[in-house]
Amino acid sequence: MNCPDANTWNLLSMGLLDEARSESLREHRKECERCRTAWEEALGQHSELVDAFEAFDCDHDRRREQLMAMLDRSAPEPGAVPGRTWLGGIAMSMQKHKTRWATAALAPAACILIAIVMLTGEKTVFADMLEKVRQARTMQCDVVSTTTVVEGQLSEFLKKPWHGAVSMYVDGDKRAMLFEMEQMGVKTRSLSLGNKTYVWSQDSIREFDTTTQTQSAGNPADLLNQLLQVRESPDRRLGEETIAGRRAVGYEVATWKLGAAMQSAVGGAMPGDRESRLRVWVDVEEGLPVRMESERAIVAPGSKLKACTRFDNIRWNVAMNAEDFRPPAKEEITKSETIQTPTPDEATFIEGMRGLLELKHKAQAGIDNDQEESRREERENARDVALDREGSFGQRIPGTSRPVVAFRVVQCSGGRWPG
Amino acid sequence: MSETDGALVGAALRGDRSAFAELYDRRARWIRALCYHTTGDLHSAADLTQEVFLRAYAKLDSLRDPDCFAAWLTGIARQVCREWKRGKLRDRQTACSLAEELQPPAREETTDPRLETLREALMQLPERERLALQAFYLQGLDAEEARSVLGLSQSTFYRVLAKARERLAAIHRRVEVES
Repeated sequence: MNCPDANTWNLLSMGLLDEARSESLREHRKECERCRTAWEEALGQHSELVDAFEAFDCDHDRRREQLMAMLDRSAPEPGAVPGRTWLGGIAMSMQKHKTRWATAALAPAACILIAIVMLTGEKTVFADMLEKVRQARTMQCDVVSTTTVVEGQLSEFLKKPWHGAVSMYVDGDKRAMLFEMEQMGVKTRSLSLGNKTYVWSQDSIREFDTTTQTQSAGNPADLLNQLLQVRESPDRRLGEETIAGRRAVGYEVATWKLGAAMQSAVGGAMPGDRESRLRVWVDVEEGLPVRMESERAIVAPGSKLKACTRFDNIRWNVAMNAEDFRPPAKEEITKSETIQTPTPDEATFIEGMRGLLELKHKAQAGIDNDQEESRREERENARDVALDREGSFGQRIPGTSRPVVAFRVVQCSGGRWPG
Repeated sequence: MSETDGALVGAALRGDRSAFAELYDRRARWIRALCYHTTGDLHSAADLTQEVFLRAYAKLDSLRDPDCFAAWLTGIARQVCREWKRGKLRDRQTACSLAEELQPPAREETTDPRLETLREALMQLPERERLALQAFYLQGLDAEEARSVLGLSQSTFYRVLAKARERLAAIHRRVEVES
């Protein structure tokens, strides 16, 4: 028997040859080393392909359940065609009769009518969504946050995205939130219960007693606050998407339209900031967000960054395990700290912002004049300011060791910030 | 013996949801792979797959030959992928300038490394060969099923499949040499 070509071995590895042919090939390769090698290569490649294509199983069962649930909830019986609107009917009729002059006359009126209907509709959908969010009792979602550089430089560590998951429930005025995240292989777990925040990190459990809720754009609780502050109808409709198996409509709101107090807290809209955005995708059926995305511009001396935090796969009013929200026992806590910082009122905030901007100019001047060593230090300090804006004014950022207090910045001089 | 696609389509049209679920089990992987080729992201591909099946369900009675369900579904998938691409382009045009530099953060968590390698290799194959490989490996290694999805004769399908494997091996060898 002549040595078969590679295609034959490939077909054999896929089980596509008949039994007689397969048997003769098996016999042949026993005697031919070259063909044995060709066979092993073909079989190896086949196994690799089987393995790689298995990745397409990707959550298959859960996805099927979702699909079936969608069909059960809302889909018409197979083959049902959605009813035509009266406007569509007129359009079809006009097309049929080729009444071009009538089309020309009615088209502008139809456009105006459609615009009115759409704009009014958006406001209602958005307002309904906000109301449902206010009434929701529990929420779970995945979080991913990225920081990208628009201008200047950023350390590799800060460029790495972090991933996390959030579970939250609301009981009256109290909110409990569990936040688990991972960055560069380091896992952190944070549990906020009223004024207490517990942080599990590596081998330690730290307890923070805060007089006010911690606020940051990377904090889902505050993203919700942010959302609920939206006083306007959305700026832009982003269109429909299927997200985690659910049909959703996206909306975008400029962050500067949020309440003034929240602007500081969410680290987004500095005065004059027109870039920060909040995007919300609302489940068409449930009327609740399935995805929220906060995109913020962060300006620091020598650099301009953009932080994007996406809260994805949001599930509302789901059952939760109470055990997950149990605080650690007293004896387990490694370190306990109390942070007493009042929430700044608006006047204090404005004063703080003025000081911050003034310092930014001074720092920039310092960067321009100092030696390289000094510049590095300034950049480090500048990052503190950026982090500060990620957090809340006058508050510590849980999970970090930086007690960033904005009002100390006002007293600083020479472009150097206190640590 | 398992029922044919045609029988399952008939049952689904009579309101049997489990029949449609069975069709999903049979064809979702194939559709997911097609969508993945467009999106490059497994999560989005899975979303598009659901969109494909939702549309298929709504239009099921327009399917003339129920036994051609897989090929018909493939057509819907292609349409959905085209729409997805158009949507992407539209978003890019209208998004604010900052968003132009926004990295897709979800990619890292929703992409299997095996798929990344496979996708890179498959991208280098002619479409017919790529589809033949996908169809075979995603239809339970059933050549008859796979060739019916693509509408090819048995001999053509075998020839295309063998050629795809050979080309893939050459690509792997080249990558190894380069690395």
